[in-house]
Amino acid sequence: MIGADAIVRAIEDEGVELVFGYPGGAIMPLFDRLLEAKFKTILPRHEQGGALAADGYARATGRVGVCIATSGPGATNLVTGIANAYLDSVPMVCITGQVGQPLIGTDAFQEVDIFGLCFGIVKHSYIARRGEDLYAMVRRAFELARSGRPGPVLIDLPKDVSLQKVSELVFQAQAAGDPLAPRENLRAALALLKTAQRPVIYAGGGIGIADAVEEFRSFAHATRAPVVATLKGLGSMEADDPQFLGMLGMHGMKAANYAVHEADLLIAVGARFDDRATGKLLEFAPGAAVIHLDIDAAEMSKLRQANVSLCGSLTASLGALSVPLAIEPWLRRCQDWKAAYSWDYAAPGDAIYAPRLLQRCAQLSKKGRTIVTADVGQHQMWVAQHYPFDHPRDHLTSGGLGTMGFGLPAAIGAQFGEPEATVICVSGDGSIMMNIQELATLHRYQLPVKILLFDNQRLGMVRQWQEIFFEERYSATDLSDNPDFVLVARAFGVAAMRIESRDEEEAGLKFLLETEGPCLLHVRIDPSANVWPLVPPGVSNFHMMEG
Amino acid sequence: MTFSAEITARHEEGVLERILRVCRHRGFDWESLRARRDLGTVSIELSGSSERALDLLLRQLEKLDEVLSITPRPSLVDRRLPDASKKLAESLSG
Repeated sequence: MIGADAIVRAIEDEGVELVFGYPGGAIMPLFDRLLEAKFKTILPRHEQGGALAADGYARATGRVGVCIATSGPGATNLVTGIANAYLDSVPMVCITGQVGQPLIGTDAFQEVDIFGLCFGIVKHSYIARRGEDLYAMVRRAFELARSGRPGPVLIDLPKDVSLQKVSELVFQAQAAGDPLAPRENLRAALALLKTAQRPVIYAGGGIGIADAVEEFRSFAHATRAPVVATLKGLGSMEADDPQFLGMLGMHGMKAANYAVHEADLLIAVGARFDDRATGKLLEFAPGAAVIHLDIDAAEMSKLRQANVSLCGSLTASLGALSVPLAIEPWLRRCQDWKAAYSWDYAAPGDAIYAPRLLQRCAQLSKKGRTIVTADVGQHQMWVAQHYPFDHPRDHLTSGGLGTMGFGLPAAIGAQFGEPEATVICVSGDGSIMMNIQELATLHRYQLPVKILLFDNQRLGMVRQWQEIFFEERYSATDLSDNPDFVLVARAFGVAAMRIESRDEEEAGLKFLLETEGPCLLHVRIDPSANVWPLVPPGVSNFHMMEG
Repeated sequence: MTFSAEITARHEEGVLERILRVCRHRGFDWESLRARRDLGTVSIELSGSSERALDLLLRQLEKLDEVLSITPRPSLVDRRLPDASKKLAESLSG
């Protein structure tokens, strides 16, 4: 047995069913052993695609995603994917090949100090120095990746270490369960809850990560408080739940932003007061006391002072706070806002209106589980606003890093993880180009991912900001020389169709949702379409622009 | 605000870099640093200054897997958490 065998055994003993890996010189000993591994190795066409696929797999399933690359450019190509996982707290183990130990530090061929490069974007990292350490190192990496606040863990593997003889495989598990919030804090939180007249529950991505959706809904329904969600908190409440006011923040629903602005108590559950959600921080929920529930002590009072911090298991804390509140006047006010500011899907002209198409797509795809991955930009915000989600694990979106190119590889990972689900990747003409090579992965594995590609021939979100904030000076946002995406998809062996007007929508969605294998629906939309509402930078969420 | 703390950590490859990176990234400038290895652990005496509250740094350092304990030195600590949080919020509001 050599070091590479120890790694394979560790991954097998973690119950991993597949990894995403791209070979190269330094990682060859490991790839040689992957041929007999009990788990599958999926080959992407770019290491970034592999990392983002591992990320999508982890988000969709709740299991640890695994990606493997060689040294040098293979490792650096993982960096964006690792950072993406770090900022959204996604459990991943990333293994990079490295030159042999005698060569480290000599500027050898395909040598980079990936261990040093990744300090700021990993939950933890290792550089392996002895074959005997590998089994425990990998097992511990999995433990770290999934425990507490999840995140990516990097293992850098020098080639000679992977070839060293290994005599035994020993690992002592260290993981403990999540701590409980102190009882006195729970009592203080209950006291605040019972006296609140205008409470709002602010639901973040931590709810889905903690698998606390049922407990969260029980808590929300017990208190009857209105609920707003961050981008990654969408799906924590069912989309049509009467208490749910919608997404808050920069492109949030007006009802959600108004409710938070008038709240006297904000209950932040697995949310981190990110700037996209809060707008101008000093004017966010200006009159509200704050109860903050999270697993990560470093988030407590990091950006907004909490009156009561409940650091620990969400499921335990939520259960303790599930008390009925007498807040009928407030509930009526929030419902009035919700009714007054509901979405209007009547758009003039013949051009396809993306929000309405998304809503229609959601109506047609309602059988079994549907997972939607989004890329980054205007289409991402339209998905968040108009595609109804009933579980956070059904909405895979790059929130923290905002990585263009996330959508397609994440969809690949999600489809591998949930083979029975319908997986729809909603992308834009800018984003799809960033990992378009992964169409080859769709074809290779015949993954029935449906790509809904909104094409406005622009980097749309940047163009919108240039229109509003840069006096219509359009710098580097013209993509009117895009390739023919239908021909590109077909060249990769992926079925494709284009629609350009409203009377083609039903046929297009039928093609998208009923094609058996992978397919791409290319949808031309108006280049001047904007995302509204919009809270400008440095402004309170109360002041939303509406076009 | 000046701060001072003693950090004990497992000596693993990169531990000092990791700790100093967190300090820099989170807005804490070091002015004095002493580090000593003793078998499998490293003891670090770190002092410096920041506009941010010390708790913000300590909680981030506590998340590092190698860190075993952190002891702020009380005579030089100015925790002022509420004010410091507000100052951060002001700077972010621009």
